Amino acid sequence: MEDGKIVDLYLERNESAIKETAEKYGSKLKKLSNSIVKDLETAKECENDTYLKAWNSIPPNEPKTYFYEYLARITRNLSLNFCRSKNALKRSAYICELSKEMEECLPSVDDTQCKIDDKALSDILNSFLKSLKEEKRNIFIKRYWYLNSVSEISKNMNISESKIKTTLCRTREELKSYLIKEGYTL
Amino acid sequence: MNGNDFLDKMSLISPELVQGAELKTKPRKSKIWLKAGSIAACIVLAAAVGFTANKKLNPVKVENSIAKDILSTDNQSIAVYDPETESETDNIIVTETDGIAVQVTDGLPPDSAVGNVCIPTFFVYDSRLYQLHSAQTTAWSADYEFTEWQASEECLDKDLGIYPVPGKSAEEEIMSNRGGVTYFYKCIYNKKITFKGVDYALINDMKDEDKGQYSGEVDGLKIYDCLSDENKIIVDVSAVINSKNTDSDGIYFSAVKAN
Repeated sequence: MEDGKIVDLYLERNESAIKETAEKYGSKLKKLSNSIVKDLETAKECENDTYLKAWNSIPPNEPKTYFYEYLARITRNLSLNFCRSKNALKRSAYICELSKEMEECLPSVDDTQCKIDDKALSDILNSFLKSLKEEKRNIFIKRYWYLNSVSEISKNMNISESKIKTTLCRTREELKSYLIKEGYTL
Repeated sequence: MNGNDFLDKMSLISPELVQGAELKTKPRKSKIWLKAGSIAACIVLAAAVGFTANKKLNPVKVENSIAKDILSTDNQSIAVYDPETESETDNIIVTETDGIAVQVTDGLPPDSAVGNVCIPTFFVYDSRLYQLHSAQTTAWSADYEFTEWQASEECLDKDLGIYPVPGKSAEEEIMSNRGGVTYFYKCIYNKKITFKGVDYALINDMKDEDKGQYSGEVDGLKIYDCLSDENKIIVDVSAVINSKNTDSDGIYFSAVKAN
């Protein structure tokens, strides 16, 4: 079934929407979650929670043209939250590593509320990523959106791990400069 | 905002870009050649740059010359020309190919050999000197953004991007672009050959027009007389090099006599 029609089922509050979603994207979402949490049972839980969140958020949202990405974003956030929970210490260490890398992009690090809203940050991030060469952009997204390890990216893209690390490091520096240039403040 | 928050905010990346990253994966290449190609290209590129700087980009002709020696080490088999008429710089050999070109040969460690006999090596063509290729450089440079398959950034502390040549396998030819200059690396088979008690070094690929009478076999390589130069022999290396070129019944290299 086409994405638009599945979203229509959600909008009509038709429960078959979940069945259709699971049939079309269930395995992809589980795979995505498993790549983050590294535990199949937890990945299944995240997948199911994704359907629930989608059910609760459509409407008002109508992600007809980006339905999978919408679901994947929910799955990613659920999986990330699981990793940060107390009973997932091993994965938590990995997320800490990624968080530390992300800190390098920030002009200043603070626990106070961010002054920039999500829309503005989204615009800055997307405009920055679009300015990058395709390969560089994909490496960055695989690392910080899909939360892939360096070795996974290396295998997937057939590029040496040292190059991946160098590219990520440079991209983080460039993002930091970009954020400063765009007036990003906390 | 801290790193944790910022990691969460990555979910704000546009779905279009996220999808693009998921879909883009690169085709796998033969691992040995990927590695071998990168290493060899790094070595010869460094040598070529050094040489061209040294020679102020003046090409040198060495056609029909006789190698004065063949240096053989565990890793290399290199023909060295007489410096009076030819040019040599350490392990660099310069020759003319189809006009003006720079040829640099260098070997790879034995564990990079294929089938225990092949020591891959590469001719290097500097696009500033090699006019035949330079006309195509612009188009190829535009292409390689999308076909890049390997770059050894840390090699020799320089950023070396190594790219495939459209329509060619990595085993045949690769290229690199440095400072606006495109270098083409044409893979050859470089090996010292002892035939009928005489040492020869493979130096150049060639068409079969000069191929004379079949005169024997060494290590599975068929040897022919060279019609245009009695000091050379023609070696068919098709047994150890795969080529997509089907115009000819073999892959022929000329080999020069060593004194």
